[in-house]
Amino acid sequence: MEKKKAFSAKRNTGTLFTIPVVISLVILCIIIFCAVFAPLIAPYDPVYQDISAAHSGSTEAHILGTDSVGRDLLSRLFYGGRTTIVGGLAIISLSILLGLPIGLFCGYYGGIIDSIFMRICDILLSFPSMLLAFVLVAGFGRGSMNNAIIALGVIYVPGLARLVRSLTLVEKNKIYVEALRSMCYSDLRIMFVHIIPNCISSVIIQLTLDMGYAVLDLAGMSFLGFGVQAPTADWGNMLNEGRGYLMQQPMLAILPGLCIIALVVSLNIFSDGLYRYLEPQQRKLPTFKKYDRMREKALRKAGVKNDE
Amino acid sequence: MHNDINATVPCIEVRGLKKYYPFKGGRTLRAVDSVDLAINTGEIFGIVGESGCGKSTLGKCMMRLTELTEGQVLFQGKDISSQSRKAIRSDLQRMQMIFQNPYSSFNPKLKISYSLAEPCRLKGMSKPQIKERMDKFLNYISLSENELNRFPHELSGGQLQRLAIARALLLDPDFIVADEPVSALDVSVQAQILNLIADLKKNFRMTMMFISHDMTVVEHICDKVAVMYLGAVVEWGESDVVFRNIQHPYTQALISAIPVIDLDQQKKERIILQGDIPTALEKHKGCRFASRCSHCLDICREQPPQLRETEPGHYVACHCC
Amino acid sequence: MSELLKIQDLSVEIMSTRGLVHAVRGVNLTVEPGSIHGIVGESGCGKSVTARSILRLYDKRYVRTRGHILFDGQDLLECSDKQMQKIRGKQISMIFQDPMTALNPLYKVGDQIAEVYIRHFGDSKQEARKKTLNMLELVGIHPAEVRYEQYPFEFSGGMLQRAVIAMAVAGGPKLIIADEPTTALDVTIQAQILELLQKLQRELNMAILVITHNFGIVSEICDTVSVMYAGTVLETGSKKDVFRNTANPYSRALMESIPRRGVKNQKLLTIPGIPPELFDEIEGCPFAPRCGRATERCRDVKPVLTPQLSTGILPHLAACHHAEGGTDNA
Repeated sequence: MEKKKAFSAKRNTGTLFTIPVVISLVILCIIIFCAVFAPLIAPYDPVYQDISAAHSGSTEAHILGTDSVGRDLLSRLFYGGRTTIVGGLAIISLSILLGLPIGLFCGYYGGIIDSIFMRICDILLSFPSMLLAFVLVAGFGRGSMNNAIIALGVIYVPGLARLVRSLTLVEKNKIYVEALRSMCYSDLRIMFVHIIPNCISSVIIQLTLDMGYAVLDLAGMSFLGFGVQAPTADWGNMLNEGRGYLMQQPMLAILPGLCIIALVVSLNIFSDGLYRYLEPQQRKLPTFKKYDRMREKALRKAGVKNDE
Repeated sequence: MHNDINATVPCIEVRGLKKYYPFKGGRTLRAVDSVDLAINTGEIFGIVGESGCGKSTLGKCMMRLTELTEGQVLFQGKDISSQSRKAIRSDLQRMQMIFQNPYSSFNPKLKISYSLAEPCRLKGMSKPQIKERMDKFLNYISLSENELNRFPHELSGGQLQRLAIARALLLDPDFIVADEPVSALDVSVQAQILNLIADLKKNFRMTMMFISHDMTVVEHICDKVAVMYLGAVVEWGESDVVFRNIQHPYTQALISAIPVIDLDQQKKERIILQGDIPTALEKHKGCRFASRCSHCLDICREQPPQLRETEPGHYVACHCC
Repeated sequence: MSELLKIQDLSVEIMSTRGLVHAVRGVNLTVEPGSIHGIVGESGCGKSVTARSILRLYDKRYVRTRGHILFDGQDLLECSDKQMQKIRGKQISMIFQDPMTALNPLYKVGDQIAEVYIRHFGDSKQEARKKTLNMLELVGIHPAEVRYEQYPFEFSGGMLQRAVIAMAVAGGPKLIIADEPTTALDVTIQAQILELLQKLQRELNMAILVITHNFGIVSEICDTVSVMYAGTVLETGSKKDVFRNTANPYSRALMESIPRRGVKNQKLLTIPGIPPELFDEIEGCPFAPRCGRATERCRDVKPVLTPQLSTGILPHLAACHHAEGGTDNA
């Protein structure tokens, strides 16, 4: 009886760490570890050219082989991860830095400021984003990774600002905000101390998702020569360089491509898991079939015979 | 608190308050249309009416949560309706509000203790001061520290509403607007809150405007009562006097419509109003209630009735009374 | 006596994000044909869940029911989905709390009511329209011809609730379940709707099961009453018995906590504590932790409904260890 009670009292609090999320986290950790400790674990300097060993396949010296100018592929993958992750982080940081305050102010105050900013966002959103990024990079000057990051950062602002704005609109009309207003709180305090914590979970979910897309976009820019420039190692860049040798040495293109896919898919799965965890309404309920199985298992574990 | 009970200055006074909202088609919604009232210190003033009668809007205008279209609000004799919110911040801080839905009255992401202490801190109270005040009021609302260290979703509606009252009181306000504070609660919990308000009134000489749609609750707790219909007060006065001798046909219908629990009291003939509550969009030439009134005379359709004192402490706006 | 609806030991378990909720725990009640029965209780007492289980308006994957719901001798919990389809609307229909969302905003109000005739009686469009116009008149929607053509947003809350009632009555049901039919409405409109329900019940000789938290409504329109708490019925019987010879301490406490007209400056009776959470099994009387008269026995043994002093032919039952036998303990 006691044991039975113990089981029924167990609340389904939900866990972040479902199997797909754990797998994606493991992959993310490996990628981040390799990127962070690249100088320690990479066997070679990523830009060191060993012309004599160019286009070598897998050898003892170069496990994954070398590229057309004899740079070690493994080392370049480690260092490339660095560039890609830092680039992605920089892009979403920039977008949140601009998007959050814009969305917050527009949502909270509404009126003419809101209309102006939202129309600007509409205009930005009406262009294909990559095209817009190219235009911006062309304006800022081609050839620097920073410019590509700024351009992409700007591209991600409108989406985020709109998200924050709609979340703010919802929160603003809740009674607790009115209660705070009735207690003479300043608008800034209401916005930053009270509204932000209530929309931050959705923003974080969106950011993890955006991070994946940002990595992809940056790789795309680099692939097209607008982003990271040679000889800096970057997965997109490497993919572009490897493209020419697809027949002779396919690994040169496949491996950076796989890395990008692994990073983006992991980020997506992680973001999805986070969403389910932070927004309990989205959690899937166990059906009674599943619940009964779980219950039986728990009871057996507790040593109670099936007494029903 | 600040005023002498005999002083002529009421705690809060409303003069000719109007709140119009522009509505599609160039029409205006007259949510509150020329309301005058005065609430004395230590009084619970009830505002009753059905949905859309403007009772909540009136409360919000008095708190300056919405801007009023016309009229004046005098708080302890000082006009607080014309200056900016910032300029009269110290006055507004002495007015507090309690809301209908206790579940959403607190920031869901913050612990109750933080939500309670923050406004005090912002007002400049020191930590030990806050602690002392909190202990005092926690005792009053019969809750313990234990409840303070939880999040709003972990508490029941009754507990939260008591905490909302405590939050308002912590700031030592001179005037409280309670907007339907018991409508979202179950009857047994409603009784707790009503008892608490009655207690507080006795012990702190609290001044409160109690907005409700429930006649019995208002009769139970209020010293004075005003009945609103379509943005205007149709009957008001001392609650004892008014409820002993209800005169306005609308108030009579409102009272008669309440389902009675006592089986013995049910035999009386019930007045059931025909038709719906009109919207406050149309401009009323005569009496607002004329379209639903069974005593309607010709004059009612022509001329709006003014509030008249029909007996000491009892004002009615009706041509027939 | 032939009951129209007899609920026996109904229990309902609902899966929620926070765990398994035992929302209804062994409810017994009966509704006589042509009478109004009220289920009254505070929020979370399981009154709505009970009502919804009668029509099986739930997702089978997440809700599990046990017990019997006998309607005209047929167990609704054992009916096939197809049989249920025939019962819903024609034998039993339901009125919901919020009239604003109870009708489809995209179709004309009249057509939505006419649909019932077409569906359940196979009427032609003209016939259905004629019947609908009569029905609109019956529930007090004038002028019917004009109102038929209007959409839900053109109706006020009270008028919409009348339309919803018309739709519920159209199938000619023997039982109408009204789940908080007037909670979303103003008192003057509430009075109109209650009057309408009583009138329809008399004229069409239906039974109505009213779910409400308002003792006043029960006392005004119901013939029999059940008081629910924490998923169980604590007291049931004719209105007179329950209100005059209240046997259960919870029912009495609830009634006394309501402010009454003409009584002023008197402390209202309150019930200490809060209702139990419905995740776990409750041992003993569910009200025991909040009851002033609770004894050891109340905490250990769950009381069952036992006969009390009854003034009419209907039995008056209460679940309380202190109430057995009648008024001497009250």
